[in-house]
Parts: sequence; structure tokens; C-alpha cells
Amino acid sequence: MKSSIDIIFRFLFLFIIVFFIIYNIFVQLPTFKVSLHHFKKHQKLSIGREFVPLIPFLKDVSWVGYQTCLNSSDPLTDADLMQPYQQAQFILVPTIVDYYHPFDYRYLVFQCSDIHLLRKIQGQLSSKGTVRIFDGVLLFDRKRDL
Amino acid sequence: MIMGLLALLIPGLTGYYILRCFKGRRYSFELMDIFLMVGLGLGISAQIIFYVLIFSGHIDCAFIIGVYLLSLCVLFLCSYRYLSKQLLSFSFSFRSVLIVGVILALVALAASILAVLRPWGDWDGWSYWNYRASFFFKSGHDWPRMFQLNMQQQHPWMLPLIILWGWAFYASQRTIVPMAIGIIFTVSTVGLLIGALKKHVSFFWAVLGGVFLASIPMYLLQGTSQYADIVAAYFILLSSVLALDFLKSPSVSSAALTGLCLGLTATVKDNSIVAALLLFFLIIMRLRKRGLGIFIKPLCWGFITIAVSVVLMRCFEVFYSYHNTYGVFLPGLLDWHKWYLTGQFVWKTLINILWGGLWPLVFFCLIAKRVRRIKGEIDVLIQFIALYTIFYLFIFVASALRLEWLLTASFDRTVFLLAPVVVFVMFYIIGKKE
Repeated sequence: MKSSIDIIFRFLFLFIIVFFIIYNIFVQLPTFKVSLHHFKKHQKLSIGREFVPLIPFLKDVSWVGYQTCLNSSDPLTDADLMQPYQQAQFILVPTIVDYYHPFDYRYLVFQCSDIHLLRKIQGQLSSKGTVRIFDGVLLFDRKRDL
Repeated sequence: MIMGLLALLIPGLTGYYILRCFKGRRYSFELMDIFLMVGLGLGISAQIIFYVLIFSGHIDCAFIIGVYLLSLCVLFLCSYRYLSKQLLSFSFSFRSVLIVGVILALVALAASILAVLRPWGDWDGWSYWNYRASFFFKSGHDWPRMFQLNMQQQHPWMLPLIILWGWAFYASQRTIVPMAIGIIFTVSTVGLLIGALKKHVSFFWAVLGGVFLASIPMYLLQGTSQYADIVAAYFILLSSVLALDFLKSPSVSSAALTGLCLGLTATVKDNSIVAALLLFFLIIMRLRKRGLGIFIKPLCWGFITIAVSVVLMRCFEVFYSYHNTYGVFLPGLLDWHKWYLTGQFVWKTLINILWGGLWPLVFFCLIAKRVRRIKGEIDVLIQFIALYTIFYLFIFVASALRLEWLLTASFDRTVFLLAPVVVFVMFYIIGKKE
């Protein structure tokens, strides 16, 4: 009796496992197709690309402030806001990019994908220091303020 | 390619010599040992780089490789007396290696295809783990400054140090290194699972367990995310299977090796510190219950030897930090709405398609365990899984961070750490002969 229960359990488990393995493979097939498509296109790495032009200007700079045109009630948990910020952090190592105290430093990195808004801010800040504008990023150097 | 293979071969050799030092003269090479060597070697590499970093103050690629090769020579001399006395014997057949090799090659292929889709891993994986490695690599003596940024505290440094080992070999920041480390641990975890299961159940069930783990969509997804979770999952599985072997046939060397691997588990991330401590105390309680107190000392020595680095890491982080946003809000435990939300999220996880049916099968296996009356040392692993899950449910509810975000961002990854151990226990229960 005990061994027949044993066999039933094993067969049932085997049946379910095989079912799930096949099901899991089919679930993942579309992802693999997309990935292979990417592989064929030889796409270049693009993460944090917009911050790369800042590197020569921030050489030997320990800290920079960071601001973005996006607003959030809980910025630490907002992926849309944190994603470009963390890209900036990674690209600008060993310079530390500070989101929490953006105006405490000589340099400020302002990230915004709206080019019109960037131009507007450039106009407002140009009287207070040097402003350089790149693709989606603005670098403000408040040299004259300090 | 050659440099990459060398960067993997040297830790592999380190793992091999450490294993030989522990296993002694009567050493029969098991299938599991191949995958144990990889993790053990990479974990010890991280330890060597950590102490080089602490004592020299900065990273010098040539210096790291030099110190590492010197350590390898010392290890070789230590294990030489064992190597010279007996030729290596194998306790597995060529056929089984071939089958496992084909499965792992397929897993590696699948992981590589997914890694190509996300060469930088998940969006915040590289900004946390690879950021740290980048800071070690690029900032010279100023590397402790990275902890001034509040996001870079909290976790130990094993993964960034392993990435650093790869970069030190190439002498440049190659994107392929973090990607390859993810794939290596994804493949090794499956291999380790098959090897560990093979010791307790038939080869058929062991292979099926490995195939099932590899087929779980969440497994491959996390394996290629470049987070530390796959590394932590590997070390938790390693510690668990070594603990099971140790409790089944206790010896001083297996106690020390289990302690060492528990220590390595604690150096991966904060969740793995909790896992290592839980498992450590469960093993001690089991030993005391069985009147095997003499093995507690080597277990503790093995654990403390490595875990001391976690304390040192934490000292650096606390000393250099100025602000910490991660807080615990204990009154949150009395907020029933938080418990309700957590319950809802747990239910969604149980039926999530990405988990590939893993969690419903756990309930099936728990019933099977009761019906088949499987008892013994496996209970330690079941207690470990239950305690870890309960502990983190409390942590989530008590956290001061927004609960919905916290659950979405990290609940899957928290339970992912247990996935290989859960699969191991499931197949142990079903495959074990009464």
C-alpha cells in the first residue's frame, strides 16, 4: 500500500515537472527570439551615453550635484528618475554624483530630455556661471559664485 | 578569450587546492566538486583582493595577480603531501559527465543569448555592483569615498571584488566581465544542484532537478541581471548541501569547509548574511541536540575566518558614510494594511508565470514529505527556508521605505536566493528512497 502511494506521488510529480519544464521553455521562447534579433543587429552599448561628454570637464572633480526636470513625491523609489541618475553615477566614476544636495557643489549636472526646457534653463543660468549643454544634459559651472 | 579562461582557471585551481587541503588523502573527486571549486575559488579570490586592497590602499592589477599567484603557490605546497601520496580518483562516470555537460552547455547558451539582450544587466544592477567595482578600479587610494554616497552602503563586496579580478586580468573595464560572471554562476548553480542531488537520489532525478531549475524563467532572468543574487543563491545552495553532508557524516574537515562556505555566503549581500547566520545557528542547534558539540569549534573557526572580512567591510562603510537612508520602522509591524499588501504580493508571486510553477510544487512536496515520512537532516534545510522567508516578511513590513515599491523591487530577488535550495529539497524529498 505504502509503496503504491510512493509510486503515485513520484509519477504525479514527474508528470507535473515535465509539464512545467516544457511550459517554461515555451514561455521564454519570445524573449530568446527578441534577443537573437538584437544579436543580429549588432547594437552598440548605449547606457549612460549622454553623460560621457561630461567626463573631460569633471576630471579631478570630487563631487557634483545632480538635478532632473522630473518630479516625484518619492524620488528614491522612482525608477524613471533614478535610472538616469544611476547611469550618471556609473559613467562619471570617480566623481561622486549627489542627488540629495545638488546645490552644495561648484558643478551641477542637470538631466532633461526636453531640449526646449534645457535651453530655457541655460538662458537663466548663463548669467551666474558657465553653462555647457549636451544631448539631454546640461553642465553648470558656478565658478563666479564661489 | 585566453585571458578570460586564465582568469577563471586560476580561481578554479585555487578552489581545487583548498578542497584537497580539506578532504585529505582519501579523496575521491565527485561531480559536485567541479562546481564547488569554481565558487570556492572565486570567493577566495575576492577575499585575497579585499585584503590586498586594505593593506596596500589601492588597486594595482599586476600586484593583485602577483599576490594571488603567490597564494596559489602556498596552497599548492600545503596540499602537495596529499597530491604526492595518491592519484586522483573519480566517483562519477564519463557518461554522467557528458549528460551534465550537454545540459550545462545549453544553459550557458540560453544565458548568453539573454545576456546579449541586456549587456549592462538590469538597470540598477550595474549602477550598484559594477559601480563599486569601477570605483575600486579607477579611483586609486580614494576608493573608500564611494561610501560617502548613501546608496553604496549596506551590502558586502564579494561581487565587485570578483568583477575587479576579471578587470585586473584584462587591465581594463570590459563589459564582458560582469556579464560572464553572471553566466558562470548561473551555470555553476545548476551544475552544483545536479552534483549535490546525485549524492542523495538517482542520477535521473538529479538531472531533472537541474533541468527544472534552469527552465524557470526567473532563474535565467536573475542570472543575467548582473545583480549579486545569483552569486548569493549559489553560495546559499553550496552552504546548504555542505551542511547536509556534514550533518549526515560529521568530521572536523567537513565542519571547517561548511563554516568556510557559510562565511563566503555572508560576504555576498545583506540577505545572504541573514541566510548564513540562520543556517549557522540551525547547524549548531542540530549538533548540540545530537551531542556532537566537538564539531562546533571547527565550524566556528571556518565561519569566523571569512566572516571577519564582512565586519571590516562594514567598518569602512560606517566610517566613511555620512548619511543613511535605509531605516526600519518597527511600528509598521502593527499596520494591518501593510500585512494585507504583503499577503497580496506573496500570492501574486506564488502564481507568477516567471516562477515557472516552483512555488505550487513546494506545497506538493511538503505533502509528499509527510506521506512518504522523509525525516532526518533535511529538516534543517526546511527550517532554514521557512525562517528566512518569515524573517524577510517581517523586514518588508517593518521597513520605512514605501512598501509597494519595496515589494516590487526586491521581493522576487529576496526569495530568488532560496530557489536553488528549494529545488534541491523538493527533489530530495521525491527522489529519496525511504
